[in-house]
Amino acid sequence: MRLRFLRRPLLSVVVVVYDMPRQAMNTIETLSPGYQRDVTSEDYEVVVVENESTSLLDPVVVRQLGPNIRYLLRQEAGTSPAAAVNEGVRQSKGAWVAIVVDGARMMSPGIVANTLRAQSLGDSVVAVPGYHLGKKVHQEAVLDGYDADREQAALAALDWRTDGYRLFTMAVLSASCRDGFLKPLAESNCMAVPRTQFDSLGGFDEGFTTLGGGFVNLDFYRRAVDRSTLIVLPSEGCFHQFHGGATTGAPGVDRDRLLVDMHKEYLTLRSEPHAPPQRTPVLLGAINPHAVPFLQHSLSRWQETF
Amino acid sequence: MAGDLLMRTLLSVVIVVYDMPRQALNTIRSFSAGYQRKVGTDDFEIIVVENESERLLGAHAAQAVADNVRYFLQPNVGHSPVPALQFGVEQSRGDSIGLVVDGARMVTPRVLSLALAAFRITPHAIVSVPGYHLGRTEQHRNPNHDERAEKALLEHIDWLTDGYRLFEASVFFRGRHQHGFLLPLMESNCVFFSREAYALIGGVDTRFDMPGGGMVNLDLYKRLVERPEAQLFVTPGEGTFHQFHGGVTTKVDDKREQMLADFRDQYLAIRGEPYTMPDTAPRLLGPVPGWALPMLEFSASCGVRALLPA
Repeated sequence: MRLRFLRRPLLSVVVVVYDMPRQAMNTIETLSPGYQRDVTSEDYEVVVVENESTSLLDPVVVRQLGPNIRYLLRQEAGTSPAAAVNEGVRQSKGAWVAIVVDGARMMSPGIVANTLRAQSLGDSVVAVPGYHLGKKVHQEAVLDGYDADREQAALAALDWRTDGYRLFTMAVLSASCRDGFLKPLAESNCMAVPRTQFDSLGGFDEGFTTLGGGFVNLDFYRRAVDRSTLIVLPSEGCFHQFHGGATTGAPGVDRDRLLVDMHKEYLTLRSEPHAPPQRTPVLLGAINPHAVPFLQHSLSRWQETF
Repeated sequence: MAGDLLMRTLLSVVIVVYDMPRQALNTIRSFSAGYQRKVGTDDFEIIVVENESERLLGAHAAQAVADNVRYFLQPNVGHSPVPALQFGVEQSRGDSIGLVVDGARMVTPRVLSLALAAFRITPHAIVSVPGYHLGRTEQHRNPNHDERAEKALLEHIDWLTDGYRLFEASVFFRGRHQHGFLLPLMESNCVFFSREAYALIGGVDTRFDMPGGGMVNLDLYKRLVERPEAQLFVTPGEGTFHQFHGGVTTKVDDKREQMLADFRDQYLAIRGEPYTMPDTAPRLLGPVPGWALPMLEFSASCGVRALLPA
């Protein structure tokens, strides 16, 4: 985009992966320079941090997706992605860092360019609203027999590589964004902050140890937004693919009980119940037609409370 | 933002005034640092160019609003704002310029900080502020809206305390934004651009010499946003609000349609082709206060109808 003479990328996108090679390959492809629009591989880097499992990515294939894509494999004794996030940020070089805590999230094509634009507005948090692929959020869809095979078949038919904004046509807002993006979001699964801010916040809190890291992502989002301007990209999305995540359809997980435990852990660590940060977002970006229905939903939900 | 020398970009707001002292004073107040948020007087200047009339705003009143107001009185040549506009740009010192061709247009409190933000994103920014008319309907359709009614309305909403209440007292100007502001716009009555972009397109075209300037504003906007490198931003939570003043195209007038036809004929004569809207789609920039929600909803509904594949 600019400043190409500088070796240091403007943005590092840190993607944490665990036991989801098929979904993660899609995610990484949506972050590749061949898919992201109005940017080049010199503008940003993608740091893939995979926690070891029995289903690993192929590093060679990952790196083939772009010269700006790096791959790190690490051991993780626990189930939280926090240490992987912090490790990925330490290994990254960008002036800003974007955190994708769940490697199953495919991206729309303007995320990188719009995040780079937002950097010009000073210290801020850039948040991408979250969606789930399919007709229901995955924790509900799984009860109807929804699974990864069905989803990947639908993705193949969508031809998202030609136009990534088509992902909006087979998605619903995630639970943390269910009221749209004009009301407070509980979290973002693709959020960017200046590296200095990431460091001053102490990164992701590795004290969150419940399954999947509990509220560690919500916690970082809350702490970051509480001290910054919030910029929301209304026409971009990160789209959760079904993979049996801790709170999004994992077999044998009592989700209600797990959420209670997560709330308790947050209360213990922060001495108050979790609540989304209350901050009016600055909107940035052109509205793609496929995203308009979600803008309308956001407007109507906000108007109800205005 | 104020005092941040590294990030500072001086912005010049050029306001053309003719025969509208009350309205122009409101407009200048709405651009002042005391009303605009997150900007200081060092960040911008206000250039007021008043064309002579029997009802002058005058230098004293204009400059009493703020220290960064510069006032110029000019002869009223041909009842067109174009010479004054050109003069105002010549006098301005900013790296970027905001143009208010009709001095009766008040604005909301984040217009300047968002314009400066857009120029930090890209020097090729064009920033368009959506237009509204004070009153219950657009003023050229509303014979009951007059100066007295409008003064009462503005006093009632106490706009100087909360400028976003201007949305409460106004309607979206559909004449220029028929499809809302997610789709390409015809013009802006408050538009910001870089001095370089203005120079590259050759500035305002002084051949538009009809009353009110004819289609000069549409022409300037079209040439600015159709430059390949232009990046158009629209501020969904901000507005420019037309006050009643018996303007050329904003008063109830049974000769309005003929006059608009004459404007189109002049455009054809100057440009050699009929006017067509630019097709540059904007990016949104800025927060959306609750009062501005209906217009964004309208824009979104137009966006669905016009853009989604059949």
